[in-house]
Amino acid sequence: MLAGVWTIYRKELVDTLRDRKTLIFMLLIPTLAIPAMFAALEKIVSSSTQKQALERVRIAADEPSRARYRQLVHAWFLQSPLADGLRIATSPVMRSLIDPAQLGALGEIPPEIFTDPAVFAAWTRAAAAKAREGVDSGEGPPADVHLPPEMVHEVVAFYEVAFKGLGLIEFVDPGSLTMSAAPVETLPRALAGDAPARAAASAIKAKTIHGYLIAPEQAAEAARAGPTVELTLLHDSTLRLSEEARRRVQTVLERVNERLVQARLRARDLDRDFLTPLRMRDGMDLATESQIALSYIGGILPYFVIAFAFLGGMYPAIDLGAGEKERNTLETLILSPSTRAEIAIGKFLVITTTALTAAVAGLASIAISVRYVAPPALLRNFDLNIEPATAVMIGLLAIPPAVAFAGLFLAISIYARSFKEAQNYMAPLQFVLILPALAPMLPGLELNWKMALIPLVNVSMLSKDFLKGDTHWGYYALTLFSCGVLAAGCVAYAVRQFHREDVLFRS
Amino acid sequence: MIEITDLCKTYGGWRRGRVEALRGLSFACRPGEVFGLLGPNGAGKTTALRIISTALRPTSGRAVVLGLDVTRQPREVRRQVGFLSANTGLYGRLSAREVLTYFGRLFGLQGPALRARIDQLSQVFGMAEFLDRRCEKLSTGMRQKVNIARTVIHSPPVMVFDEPTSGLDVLTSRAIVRFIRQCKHEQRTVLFSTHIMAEVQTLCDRVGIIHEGRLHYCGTTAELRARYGDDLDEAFVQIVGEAA
Repeated sequence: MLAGVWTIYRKELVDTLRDRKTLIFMLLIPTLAIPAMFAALEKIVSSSTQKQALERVRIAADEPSRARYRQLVHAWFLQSPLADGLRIATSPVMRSLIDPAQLGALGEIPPEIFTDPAVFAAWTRAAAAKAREGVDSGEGPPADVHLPPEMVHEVVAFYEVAFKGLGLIEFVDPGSLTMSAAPVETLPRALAGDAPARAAASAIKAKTIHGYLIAPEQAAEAARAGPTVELTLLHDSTLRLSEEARRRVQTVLERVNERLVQARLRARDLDRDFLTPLRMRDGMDLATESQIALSYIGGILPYFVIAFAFLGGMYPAIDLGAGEKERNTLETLILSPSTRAEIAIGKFLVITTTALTAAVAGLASIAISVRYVAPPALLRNFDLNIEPATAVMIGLLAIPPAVAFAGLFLAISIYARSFKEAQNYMAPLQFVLILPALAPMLPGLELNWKMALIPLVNVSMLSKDFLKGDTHWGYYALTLFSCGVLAAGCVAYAVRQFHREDVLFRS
Repeated sequence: MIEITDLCKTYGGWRRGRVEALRGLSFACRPGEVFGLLGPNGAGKTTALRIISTALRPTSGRAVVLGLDVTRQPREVRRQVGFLSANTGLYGRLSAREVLTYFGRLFGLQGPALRARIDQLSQVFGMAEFLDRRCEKLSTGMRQKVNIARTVIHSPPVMVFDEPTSGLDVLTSRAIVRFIRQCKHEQRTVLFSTHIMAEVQTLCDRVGIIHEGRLHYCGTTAELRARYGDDLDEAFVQIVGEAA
């Protein structure tokens, strides 16, 4: 029996590995598509993020509102420790020492930026334009400059408030806006009587401007204690740049608020803790950062395990069953002294091998992509550290689905009349079999003894636990057992099909 | 020796309806003899040959090959039979040598004995030139040579040919006819189904003409000619016509 199975296995494996289609699905797609996908995603994400970050938005505002807004930003700037640094940089002594080119986007710093909000606004505009030209990323200090965390916070805040919140906003006179024929029906009632607001609403919808700002008179005096002053920014959150305009103004207000609150507290001789009577203590999580990251990934990993095992098993299975019928080679095989069980088991083992190889290759490719190709932007917050033992365990996870699919596909493939018919049976199966991969995403679902008996669902649930370092070998054994039982049933069915004359000789 | 006694085969079931492919077929084929099984399309020739080679099971009746019952001892029967048809495929991605090695192993040959047998067959069929070429790259003639070599890799004493020259060119057909003649000289039992009367004339010692699953004539080709004249096509049409 074993010799017969081995002979069939060896021949089928060689035959399968020489099939270009199988190789593409088994190795090429998992190993090359994943890094390519990651790289493409990174490029799209980073380029669109960077593009949006440095894009200029047009906001309509009358002159008083503009001045008040400018003043708010300027006042914030003057209280920034960075302003002190820039003051030093503009002192006559430093000016003779520092080459403006070394200041990157900041460039020539006119001393009036400390006294005149309009000059300050013009300077931020010029600096932001330089950043747009690529002199500076506009996202903070370069990676090789090591600043203390408070300073990094200040620099980021400066970019957000001065560059993005003022320099990259182009103010437009509301009087220059033309009203479109159809009024915007969703204009808030509070602004219904405001003619410039009506014109601005039409312009926002037409994307000629991205927002309409009203800064009331009291805004300039917001530093003093008093009721909350509301600034209005008419926008459309479904339009990309309009939403970006809202986000920028919102960020400016948050940063300004932060500083104003601090100032108010200082004036009353109160500590910042005055605003936070209770809070959760940080750093009490027993899970390491790596475990948290892997737990997130554990949610999507089963999808890849199942999908790759599916792809890796499907084509060889079709080729070894229906394909053999189509090429008229099956009859010669069943006329050899091998038993039908030997033939079925030999073929089953080859499909298991290819499904397993595809799943492991796919997983290895994901691991490599995450580590070396994946962008910092995508996984910036994950401190991933996959230990060899974890990698082996993830590899072990691929065995149960590979076994289950091999059995199932072989049965279908033997039953099918032709390559095409087998494909037609298996394609819809893809959707059904992928469903268990979603199990870990369902809230409140935990792996237990009963669930460990449901093929494929158990694989999905187990992967999450495995990645967290929570290895329950009992559940793994049950998972392997249940998938093995499914496969054995399918192989038995395939053997039965091999005995059915109407299946073997139908065409 | 092949002995067929009262062989019946019914296909289908309640869903697709029943088709009686064989209705009590009986004949015998002796070693060193070429027995030609003739009949129009759908007469039951392929069904009979498939039962003899154990691919199908008879509904009733008996088929015995070298004293082995095809239903009770199918594995043993397979070791004694070589089966070839015109549309038997080869594994395109394997070389001719790999195909022969595979089937040799399936029939229990191993190591040096298998290698020696492949070399011998390569010499006999003139395959040395393309033995290590993938089958998908071979011409139809080359492929048919590999197929014949595959069929006889285990030196079977019984050969079953199901329309082996159907759809092949003259040269390839000739090679097969030569091979069947050689089998006869080697004292093998040869059962052969065909539509081509010229082949019957050249090869067959005895013929059986079947129609709708029943045997309507069984005798030597000489007897057939004596009874119906020299034109075997005409003889065939007459016998089938009488049966219908």
